[in-house]
Amino acid sequence: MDTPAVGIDLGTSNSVIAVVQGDQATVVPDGAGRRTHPSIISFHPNGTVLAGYAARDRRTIDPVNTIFSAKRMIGRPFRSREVQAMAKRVPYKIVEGENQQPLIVARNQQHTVAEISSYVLRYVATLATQHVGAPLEHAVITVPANFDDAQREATRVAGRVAGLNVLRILNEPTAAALAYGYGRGLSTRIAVYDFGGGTFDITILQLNEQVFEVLSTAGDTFLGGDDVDEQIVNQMIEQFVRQHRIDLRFNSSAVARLRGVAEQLKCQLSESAIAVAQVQEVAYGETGQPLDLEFQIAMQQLNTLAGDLVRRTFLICDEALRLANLTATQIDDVVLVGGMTRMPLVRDSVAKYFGRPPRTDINPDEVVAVGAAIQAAILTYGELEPGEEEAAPGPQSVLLDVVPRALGIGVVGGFTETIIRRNAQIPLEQTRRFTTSQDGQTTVRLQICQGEARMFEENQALGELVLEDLPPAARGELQVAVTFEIDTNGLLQVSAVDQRTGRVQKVHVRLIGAASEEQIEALRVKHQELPAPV
Amino acid sequence: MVTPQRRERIAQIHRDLEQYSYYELLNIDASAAADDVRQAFHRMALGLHPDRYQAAADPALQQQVYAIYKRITEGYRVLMEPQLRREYDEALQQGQRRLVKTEREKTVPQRKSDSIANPQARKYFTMAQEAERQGDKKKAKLYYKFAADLGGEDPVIKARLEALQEG
Repeated sequence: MDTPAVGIDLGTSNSVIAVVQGDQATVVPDGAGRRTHPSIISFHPNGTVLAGYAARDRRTIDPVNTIFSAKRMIGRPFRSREVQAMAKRVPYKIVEGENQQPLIVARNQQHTVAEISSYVLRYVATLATQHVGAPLEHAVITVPANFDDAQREATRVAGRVAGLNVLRILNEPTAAALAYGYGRGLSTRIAVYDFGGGTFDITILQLNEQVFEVLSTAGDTFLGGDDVDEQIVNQMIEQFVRQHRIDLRFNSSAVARLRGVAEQLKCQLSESAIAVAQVQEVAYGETGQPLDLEFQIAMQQLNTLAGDLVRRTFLICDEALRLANLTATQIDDVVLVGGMTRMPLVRDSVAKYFGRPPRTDINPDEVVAVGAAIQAAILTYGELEPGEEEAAPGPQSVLLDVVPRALGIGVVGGFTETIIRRNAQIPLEQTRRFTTSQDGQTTVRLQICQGEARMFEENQALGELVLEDLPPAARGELQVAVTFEIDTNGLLQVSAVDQRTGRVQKVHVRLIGAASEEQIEALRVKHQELPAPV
Repeated sequence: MVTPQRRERIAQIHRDLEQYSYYELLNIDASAAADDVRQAFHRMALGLHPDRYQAAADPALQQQVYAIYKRITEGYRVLMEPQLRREYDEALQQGQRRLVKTEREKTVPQRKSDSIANPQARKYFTMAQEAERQGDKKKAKLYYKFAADLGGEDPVIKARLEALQEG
């Protein structure tokens, strides 16, 4: 492993890439010196694939071929709440593909969500390659802590399709904690409050010099800054109706433009008490005359719009603290991650909740990518030095992470039986024994899900576990021990053994909405031949 | 570099893994308080977390470390939860080194549809069965036909469809 390893924060709205050179982690800028890159892909009529700011500029010109917020759909089947909500509000087209995969249609071509993410990854990896002056292969990619198995798997697929060797799928808050505490030898308890474009996570960690242990984590994959933008857009649409008596809701290019303006206004309100926008030629009147929108919004109004969303984050904080058997005042330091934490309302609310002001000396947009790059360097170069028997010393740190959601199987009556409880340290394994109920039964299918609800329906269905080619036996005679394992990436692996013969049984998990191995390989090969997005 | 001594020590722990109680594995007293268990877990993680060996490029060593570390997280989980720890202490008295759930095996009922390989065909097959139960033969037949089209020459679907057509 000679090439430098990189850390990539693949965000809902923006992505950041950092690389460790020497003993310094550096955030890689684009040609214009910008350090965060919009996670947007636009398919240009001339065949070029645009990414980052170039793609963002096309959101208003070419909304149906410009794909944003794809992360909200990654690893989710077409019929899920998340994909259906997206299909309603984005101007680009989403259709259902094989095995319930959502497919994005742009310029008459269908793209899987992982493919869209792979374009983003390739774009930032290319920036890093140019920055370092050498090709890069090895990467740590971060995901929200409460991403489930299917979402992690799909993110790893995106990395593979982008031609990267994905060293690790790492939780964003854990990466942030590493960037915060690496090399400082701290013994302290911290909370990472991560409020980004699409998701909210809270993670409690115990730092013990080189050891970073996650005590608990909780989150909502459908709560983020995008929702605030949406609220502002709604206000603008109402304002436009008042001004011109025209409803813009079905004018996708106008809505796309307003969304961009809304995001800017929101950011301005982190600095000033009032923000004004004059949007020209939003639509045209009956005689073809251009109609402009004049809109202004005060910080107070924004706080009202965002108030409910911010309050929801603290219900999730309650949950994380309860899981760790702690109270808010037992937290020594609060680290903020994600663009939403620039909002004064968020900072004030966090200070009030934890009874102490959060750290403001850490860049909330960059900290995750920096932590991911440090972890990439540890995994690439971190060979052990000779030393004590139990503790291998060295400058490295070790991250002890957890599985965010319980893993269960569906049982009679529509209930869930928990196999692995949430927030358990990974890697881990649990073995359960199953027997057949019919004479000569050769197949066993178990429905698996992630979530804590008692009813199976209320959890996120992952797919099914299939045991095939069982040796025919009288019912009850065949006993299969199924081992459920969560690996260091937080990914589920299963294995099965026939208890009587000790024979290893064929077993596999069929994820709903996931691509098949052949499909992934075909995509990888196809994308290697395509030029990188620009 | 992983020293030969360390390699040998890991091989030995791996070989004897089934002989270690959680306490022995974490190198603590049976009376250790939660904080001490955590400290011990951190100490072990520094030496034996799989990440520490990722760069070693030695699959056999990595596999041993992985197996040991999974047992460490298991012990940590059990010892940190008072109820589980009580159960474990009792099991340990009986000579068990691990807390293995002794509950009876789960019996998995077999549905007729389980042998159908194509998931779409399976879905229509289940819908057809449901329609049959509700006495709607026309609908059932239609769904069985869908299932048969998708499932190729699946004998289970074919048999059901034929039975329905005769009746």
